[in-house]
This record gives sequence, C-alpha cells and structure tokens, in this order.
Amino acid sequence: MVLGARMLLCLFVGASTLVAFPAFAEPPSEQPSVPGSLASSKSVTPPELVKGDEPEYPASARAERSEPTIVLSLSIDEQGAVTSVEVVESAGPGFDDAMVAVAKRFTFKPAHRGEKAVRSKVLYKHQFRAPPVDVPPAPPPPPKLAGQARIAETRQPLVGARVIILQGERQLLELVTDAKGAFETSALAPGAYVVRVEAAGFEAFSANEELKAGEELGVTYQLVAADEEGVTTVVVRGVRPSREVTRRTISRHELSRVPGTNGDAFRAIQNLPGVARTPALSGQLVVRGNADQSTPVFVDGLWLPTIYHFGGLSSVVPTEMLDEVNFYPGNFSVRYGRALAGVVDAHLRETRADGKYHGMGQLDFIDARVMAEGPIPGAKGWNFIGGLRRSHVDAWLVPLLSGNDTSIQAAPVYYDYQLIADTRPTSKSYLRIGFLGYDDRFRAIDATSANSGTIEAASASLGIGTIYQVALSSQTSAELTMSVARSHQHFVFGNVNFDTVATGVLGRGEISYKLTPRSTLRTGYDVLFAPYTSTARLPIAAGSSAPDIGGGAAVPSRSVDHEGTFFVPAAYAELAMQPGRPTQIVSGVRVDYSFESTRVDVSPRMTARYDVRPGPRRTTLKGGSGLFYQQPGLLNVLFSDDPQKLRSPRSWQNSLGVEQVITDHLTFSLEGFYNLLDDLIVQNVNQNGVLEYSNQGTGRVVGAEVMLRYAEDERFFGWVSYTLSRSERTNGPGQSSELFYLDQPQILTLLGSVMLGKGWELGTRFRYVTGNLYTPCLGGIFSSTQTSYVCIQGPTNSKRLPPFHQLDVRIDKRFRLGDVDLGIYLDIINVYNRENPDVMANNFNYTQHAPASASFPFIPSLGVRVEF
Amino acid sequence: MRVARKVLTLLPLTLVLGCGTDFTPPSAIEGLRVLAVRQGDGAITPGSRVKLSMLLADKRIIGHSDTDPPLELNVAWLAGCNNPPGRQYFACLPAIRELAAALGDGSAPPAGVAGKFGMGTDFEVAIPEDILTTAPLVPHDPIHYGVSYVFFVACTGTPGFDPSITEGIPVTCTTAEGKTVGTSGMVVGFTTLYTYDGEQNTDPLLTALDFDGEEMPATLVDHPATSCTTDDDCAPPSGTSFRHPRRCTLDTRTCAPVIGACGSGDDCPEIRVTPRIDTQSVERYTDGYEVMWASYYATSGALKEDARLVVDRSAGLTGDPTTLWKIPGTKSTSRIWVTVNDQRGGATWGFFDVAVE
Repeated sequence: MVLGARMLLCLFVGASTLVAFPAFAEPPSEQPSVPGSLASSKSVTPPELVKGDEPEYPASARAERSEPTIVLSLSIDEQGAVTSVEVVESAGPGFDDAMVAVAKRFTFKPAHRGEKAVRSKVLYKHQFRAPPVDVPPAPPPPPKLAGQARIAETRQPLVGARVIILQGERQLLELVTDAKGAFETSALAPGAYVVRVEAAGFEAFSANEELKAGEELGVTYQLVAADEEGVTTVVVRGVRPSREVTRRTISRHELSRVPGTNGDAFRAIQNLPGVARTPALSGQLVVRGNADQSTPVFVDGLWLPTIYHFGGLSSVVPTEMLDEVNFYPGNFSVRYGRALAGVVDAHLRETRADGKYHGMGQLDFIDARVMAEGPIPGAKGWNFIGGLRRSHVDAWLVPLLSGNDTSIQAAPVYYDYQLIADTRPTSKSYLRIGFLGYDDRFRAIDATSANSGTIEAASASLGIGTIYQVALSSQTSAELTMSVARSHQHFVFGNVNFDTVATGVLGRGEISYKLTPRSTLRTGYDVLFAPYTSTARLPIAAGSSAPDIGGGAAVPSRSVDHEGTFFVPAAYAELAMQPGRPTQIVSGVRVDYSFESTRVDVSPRMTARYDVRPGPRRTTLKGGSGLFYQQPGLLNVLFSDDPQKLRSPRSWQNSLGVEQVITDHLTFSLEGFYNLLDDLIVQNVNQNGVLEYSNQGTGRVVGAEVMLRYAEDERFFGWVSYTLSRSERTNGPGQSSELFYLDQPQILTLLGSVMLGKGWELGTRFRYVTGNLYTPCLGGIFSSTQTSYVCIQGPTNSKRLPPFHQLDVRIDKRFRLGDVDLGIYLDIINVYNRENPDVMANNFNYTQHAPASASFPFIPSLGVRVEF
Repeated sequence: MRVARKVLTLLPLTLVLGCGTDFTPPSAIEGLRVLAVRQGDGAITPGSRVKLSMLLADKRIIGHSDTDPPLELNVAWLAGCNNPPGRQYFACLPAIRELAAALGDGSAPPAGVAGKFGMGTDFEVAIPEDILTTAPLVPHDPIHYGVSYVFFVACTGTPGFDPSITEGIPVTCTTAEGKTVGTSGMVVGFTTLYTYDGEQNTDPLLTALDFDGEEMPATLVDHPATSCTTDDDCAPPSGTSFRHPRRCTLDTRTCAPVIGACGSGDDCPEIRVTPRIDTQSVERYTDGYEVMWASYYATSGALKEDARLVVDRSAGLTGDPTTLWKIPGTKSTSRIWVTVNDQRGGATWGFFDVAVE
C-alpha cells in the first residue's frame, strides 16, 4: 500500500508539475512529496496547482548567479487558495521572500475526499534558475592605419621612410615603410593623429588623420624630392583632392612616347577617352561630341589661343617644356570657364635646380630644337630654362609645291621660343617668369586652280607671364598668374582674308583656405582683357541647316573692319568638403561677365566622390552636374548685326561613374555622361529674308567612357580606352535633329610602351574609330557664275564612311655616352599603310563618288636627340 | 577664327596629301556640257533687260558632218526668282518647280509664263524695277545688291516636267525616240545675276587664243571663226607660214592646225594653250582686284589644268595663264574651249579645233 501511495505520489508530482507550469519553458519545478499530507485512502484526490507565477530571481543574486532550491509547506483551503506558506528549506536571502510572495498567490484545484473538497497541506519545492546573462557587445576591433609612401614625381614606392605617429606633440609610434613603401599598424586607439613621413632627400610630409573604431584607414602619401639645400619647397603639383569628376593626367615621359604623335604633347590627348579622332593636321580638339574650340587649352591656367603651328603640324609649346598635361573631359571645377565641353591644362615644368647646366638638341623630319637649363649666373637661387625650335618643313614642302607649279614666295617656316626663370623666394613660395613666343609664316601663289591664288598664313605671338605660389600659413595658400601677350593672326586664301591683332592680358588668382581639417574654401578670379582690331572678308554662308552653295571666288563675300575689346572677367568660389573620410563633395559657383554682350553667366557646379571601399584598392563612385558657358566667338561678334543680343551657349553636364584601383599602377574607370546643350549659335534666315546669328541651336550628347590604365613605372605605361557616344544637334525650332558632323559612336585606342632593356623602348598604338559622317550628294546642279557644280544634298550627315583604323609604332634607343644621353627614335605612322577614308569625294558633277583619305599614309619619322 | 583655322589646317592637307581619286576631270568633254553663260553686254540695272547667251560643249559634233541629220539639242530657261530668302538659289526651287510643271511633257511651250520661260541658247530676262529696293539691307555686304536667279535645262532631247524628282529641278530629258537621256546628255543649272547699287561689272575681254604660241582662227564671243570648205581656205597669207599646217575639218568646217597623233603611251607631247586677255578688263576694288580665272575644256587629249587663276584678289595678274594640252593618241578632230570668268558673273569665251592625224 505504501508503495502504491508512493507511486501515486510520483504520479501526482509529475502531473502537478505539468499542470502548474503550462507556460514556462523552464525546467519544471518539482513538487516534493510531503509525508503525511497525502490522502490516506484511495478516495482522496490531492490538490492540483492550477495557476502559479515564476518567482523573480533576486537582483542581489544576479552577480553570483546561484541556483538554490527552496521547499515550502503550503496550506490550501477548500477553494484551492493558499492560506499559509511556511519555508521548510530556505534558499537564502531574497530567494525565500520571492518564492513566498508568489506562492501566496498560487491557485490550486483543492484536494477532494470523494466528491467533497477538503483542506490540504502540500510541500512545494522550487529551484531557482539564474536568468540568461546579457552578453555585452564585443568591443570593436582597434582601428587600422594602412598606407603607402610614394615618390611624387615618379609614383615609385618610397622604401625605408620613417612614419611617425603623433598625438599633439607626443610621439606615439614610429614605423618604417617596407620594400613596397607600405606601412600599417593596429596599435592605435580611435582618435585624431598627425602622421608624419620622413625620408632622406625628400620633403617631410604631414597629414591629419582620424581613426575610427572598427575601421581601416587607407592612405597614400606622395613625397617631393627636396633640393640640395634641403629647403622646404611648396608642393606645386602634389596630389590634391579632386575638384572635378574626372581628370586624366599624362606625364612628360608618356607625352613624349605616344606612338604616332612624334612626341607632341597635345596630340597625345586624342588618345584619351571622350576625344574624337580628327583629320591629320586639322588641329581640332573635339571632346564628348562638342565642336572644336569648345575645349580650350590652358598653360598653367592661362588660355592658349593657338595650340599648333600651321593648324596641326606641331604644338607651339614643346613637350620638353611641360611637366604634365591634365585633361578634364567635362564636369570640371569652377576654376575654369569659357568652355562648353572640356579643358586641357598643361603645366610648365620647374627647372631642375640641381646647380648643373643641362642641354638638349633634337632633329626630326619636321623641326630642329635646342634647349638649355641651369642656374642663372649672379642670381642666387634663380634657374632658367630656354628653348628654340625651327621647322625645316620648307626643305621638302617647297620642292613639292614648286613641282605643282605653285610659286612659293615665303617658305613655310615656324619658330617657337621660350625663356623661363624660376626661384623659391622663401621656403614656402615659388615664382616663375617666362617669355613664350612663336612665329609661323608662309606665302605662296597657287594659280593652278580657280579657287586658290594667294595663300598666306602668318601667326605670331609674344608674351610674358608670371606665376607666383605661396603657402601663407598651414591653412592658407595662394596662387597668382598673369600674362601679357601680343598676337597677330593673318591669313589669305584667294578671296578669303582674315587679319586680327590683339593685345591680351590674362590674369588669374586663387586663395585656398582650409576652414576645417575636412573642408577647404577656394575663391578666385579669372580675367581676360584683350583689345583687338580685326578685318575679315569671308564668303557668305547659306545657314546652319542649308544646302550646299558651293565655293569659290564667285560666292559673294561679306567683309568687316572692326575694333573691339574682349573683356570677360570672372569670379568663383568653391567649397570642398569631406564629411566623412570616404566622401568628398565639391560645390562651387562661377560668374562670368562679358562686356561685349553685357551678359552675366552664372555656373553652379557640383561633384562628389565616395569611396565605397577605401584604401589602396579603393572603389570610388563619382558624379557631377553643372552648368558651363562659352561666350560667343570672334566671328559671331564680327558678323552679327547686333552682337549684344547673342547669349553664351550653354551646356548642362551630368556624369556618373566608378573608379577601381586594381593594383598600385592599374586602375579602371567607367563613366557615363549626359549633356544637354542650348543657346547654341546658329545661322538661320529670319523673317526679313536675311541670314542672321541667333541662339536657336540645341544639342544632346550621351555616352560612356571606359579606361583601363597602367600608370607608368620603370618599365611600362599604357592604356585601353573606349568611348561609346552619340551627339545630336538641332539648328532651330521646328527643324529636325541631325547627328553632329563629328559624331563618332565608337572610339577604341590601345597603346603601350615598354622598356625592353639596354636602352630599347618599344611603343605601339592601335586605333579604331567609327567612320566619319557625310552628307550624300544626290546629284549636282551647275552654277554658271561659279563655273562649277553644286551638290544637291540628301539628308544631312545621314551616311557613314567605312571605319578608321591604324597602327603606329615607335622605337627608341638610348645610348649613354659618359654624361651625355643620345637617343634615336623611329616613329612610324600608319604601319600597314591603310588609306583611311576621311571624306566622301565627288567628281565634278556629282555623278560619281568615292571615299578619299586625308590621313597620313605610311610615314616613318626619324629623330635624333642629344641631352646632358 | 574657326574658319581661319579650318582653312589653314586644310591647306597643307590639300597641297601635300591630295585626295587620291581618279575621277574624270571636268576639263574632259564627254557628252553635253554647259561651259558658260554670258550676261549680256549692257549694264544690269533695275528695270533693264539682260540677254543671256549660253556656251554649250557637245562632243557629238566631233565626227558629225553637215550632211548628217541635225543633232537633237534643246535649252529651256526658267526665270522669275528675285531676292529669294537668304539670297540663295535653293530658296527659288519651290517657285521653279511650279514653273517646271508648266513644261508638261515638253511637247508644247508652257502657257501663262510670259517672261519666265524661253527656249534656245539665248534668253532675255527682265530685271525688276524694285530689285534693289526689295533686296534686304544686309550688314557687312561690301555693296548693296539684288540677286536674280535664272535656271536652265540643256539636253540632247526635249526637256519635260517629271514630278517624281523631289530634289533640284524636276525636269527630265527625252529623245525623239522616247528614250530618257542620262546625265551625260543633260545639264541642269542656274546663272546668278547681281544688280549692284551704283556699280557695274565689266566682262573679261578675251582677244585671242594661242596654240603652241601661235594665234588660232578661234571663235570668240561676237567673233565667229571664219568657216571653210576646202584646205585652201586655211592656207597662210602669202609670204608667211604657220607653225602647224592647217586644214579644213570636215565635221566642224573650221580651219584647224594639224598635229600628229601620239600613239600609245604616257609620254605624249604637250602643247601650250594660252588665252590672251586684255588687261584693261581687269577691274579693281578698293581692297584688291576682281578675281578672274580661265577654264579649259577639250573633247580629246588631256589638259594639265582644269582652270588657272588669271587675276588674284590680292596680287593681281598672276602671270601667264597658259596650260598644256597633251596630244591624244588617236586620230580625230579635237575641240578646245577656254572660258574666262570673273567673280561677279562676267564671262567670255573662245574655242578652236585641232586636227589630230
């Protein structure tokens, strides 16, 4: 019987447990057996716990996390309520009170003897369970500073440089860069530090960095070589935060080695994404589907009106004078204006300032040049670089023209000359003064055609310029640039005549002030003041969308004799912010005023860059949007009956792209652009039947540019660039849209140059470009006055020529003869002699047509260079 | 500046690289061509009537004797377009199309187009009285002027209206047999008449044509060459001789120098052809000379230049306007034309024949 009871007790205990804690996942408390409390006969039903709360774990015991057991004796009345609670086995302070408090509120199904509810007493056992521990978040890993030190001039790693990390004045850590110029540490706590990089022979470099917990900060520092006296120099062209969406820089060495360009700096730009291929010797620069002259060329921020000798033979500034050329295809800083498309800004190089004299001489099939460089005797701290170049095209062009029965009266010759002196007045300033000039002359009389006659070209300019850069404080720097130049442009071609003399003053100034460690304010001015006199006689035009009217002397002329002044001052302000390390936002506004047209052009612009993945292998998203204006050109002003009514053509540029640094030298960039043009100046017949200039033209350019570039190292440089684009124009309201005449949907360039060793260098360039557009001639109509046929045109720019493709190769060999470097190069243009079609030629009455080439045939250009 | 740069940059291109095409030169006459239109002898003034004379070159005459059936050849003139919008010829086309429609199938002269339509190599056109007052005053015109366009169709058949032609003049040419004549037998064109306010243009004056340094019995404007029936008609005056003997050509009935055919090969001799131009007809502006040029054409052989500049705007007379004619390889009669034009529509011409045997 006792066993039976115990069995029942066990059953009771088990059953009570299940009933008493229906909602808890906790291990059920046990209800111990209490001797003598059980029903003594088989008709007694023990009480059954119906409702009971879990006691609260005492706060005082949380730290200890003990799990004691308490045993209570509970008296239960006939209604099942607990009438008294007695602690039989204590669990300890806090635990007993907690348990007793909830036990008093237990509700039982009362015990029954038969059918009658009776009072009862039970033992109740409970084990306290410690509540789950609140695991505090793991502390963030310490920040990591990882970076690389490089030589600014060559971008080579700087090995063995000391990287000193300071907080305030206190030095915390010193690292040394490894064989790759790299350094890293995770030993710093989050906070602000000064990182200072020192290396023998280089200017010390300091940067303020902020480290955040859990983040890795990737940095790259570029150190500039110090002069022999170890004087601190102003970093004239150090790495600076980007002010534009895209800047493509070509170094001097790259400029001089691009195959097919004869080492000409500005012709190398045609190999970059977004730049159209233009006919050889055309001298045009067509960027992102915009007309020539929509992309001005600057030298150290000062506008260069004429880029090439004779329109395309050779740049007026020799490559040897340049340090680098920066090309901005669009969405550039407010620092630049008067440009509808992009900007090219070339930088003259500083003198070597090594206390030695250097010289260079070069001879190739176009010209001969000499240069000298060194300290100025008697002027301590001053150095000079001077150059002179003269063409010898006349040597082979004159016999060729004479063979064609052309009388040469002045052989085609060009000169250009440069003399620059610079110094560093203080450790934080730089001053340069320079003379730059060029002179092109040619005169001939060609009587072999009805439309030629006197062919005369004279273009000359002489100017003096100065640039002064100074670091006024650790937060403020300034740059002032000014030049005065006199320029004369003259040409005659039969019945056409143009002559302009201008004296121009160009001035630019900028102050940069670091408001906070992460924001910089730049303000500046940019002034062009140029009084001019101009005479011109040009054939009348038919209109921007008009059919062909033929050419020749029989087409009536319009002539003008005008004096005026181009005075276009501009002011700008730009704020560059880095709200967070990976983010940079540059916003600015530029205001241009034209005294000729009495108009104000306001250009708000904004660019942003965000490092999705910072560090040496950064992934950067970039984008920009802004307005760009270009004042009406000289011919618009000369031949408009009311120049003041002409507004500045405008471009609203938008771009979005991504850059990926793959390795130290290899980068990939992809950028899409969408530009809207309006207020383009066109010529249409007005209601009075007169052709006039107006701002009725509009346009649209959309495209994408891809570039995979290997930045030069000691062995190789090269890139692959691809552009896909479409450029359209409308010449007036109600007129249909037509493709821009130099729309080139696809432009692919692959070029590279590799050092083979033992002084050999081999470069190749391959280009593939969609064929040029042309307007088909459906036939001809004879003009007896002109004694020639005039094309009856089909839809404008509706046909395309076959594509252009060309391979150029350049081979260089350098010999070291003591202190003298001797170089010989062979630049072969159009290796497989493709006759690339540039135009569609027609016979005299437009009954036959065939593609004709205006590109170079196979031309090997040999050059010799000596320098010391 | 952009135009200047474009011209400058294209200059070395054209001079050095060339176009590399092998089209038939315009100097080669291979069918029917309009070589010049002379705009009368009098001044072009408001209200005046201008007599237009056309010089045609038709290779069919070579080998065609006067006993052969006459060659089918018609010239139609369409006039009446004065001071069109923009002062360009193409602005006349809608009006000219309407005029052309009046041609119909060409079987009868169009009606209701008096003064605007004519047939033949000569046509008289009236210059409106208000040609100058209705002409827009355009800034930068060196002189105020009105412009009139007269269109023409010359064809070796009968010109007729063709509405299916949407570009240019909607005219086709059909032979008596009903065949459509192609571009070698039809020329559509226009001549531009300038009425200057206070100035007149003088035509160039061509006094003679020399062949191999010797004056030819050429046909000049208002001075037709003497026709011949036998070789004796072409003998030199007594006591003189010609550098090249002359005979009377059976197809053109003119006295022509006799030259031996070259045969095959590229080394055929070249003979000088020189237009003698009266320099008194060279006109001057305040800032230079009126441009004048000579154009050359031949039915056989090859001319070294299609044209030569006689007077340059800046330099004036350019020197000797002689060109060279390469003797043809086969026996034939060859006609050589020279036209002289100035830049304001003045024109004159001359031609002579050469018997190649």
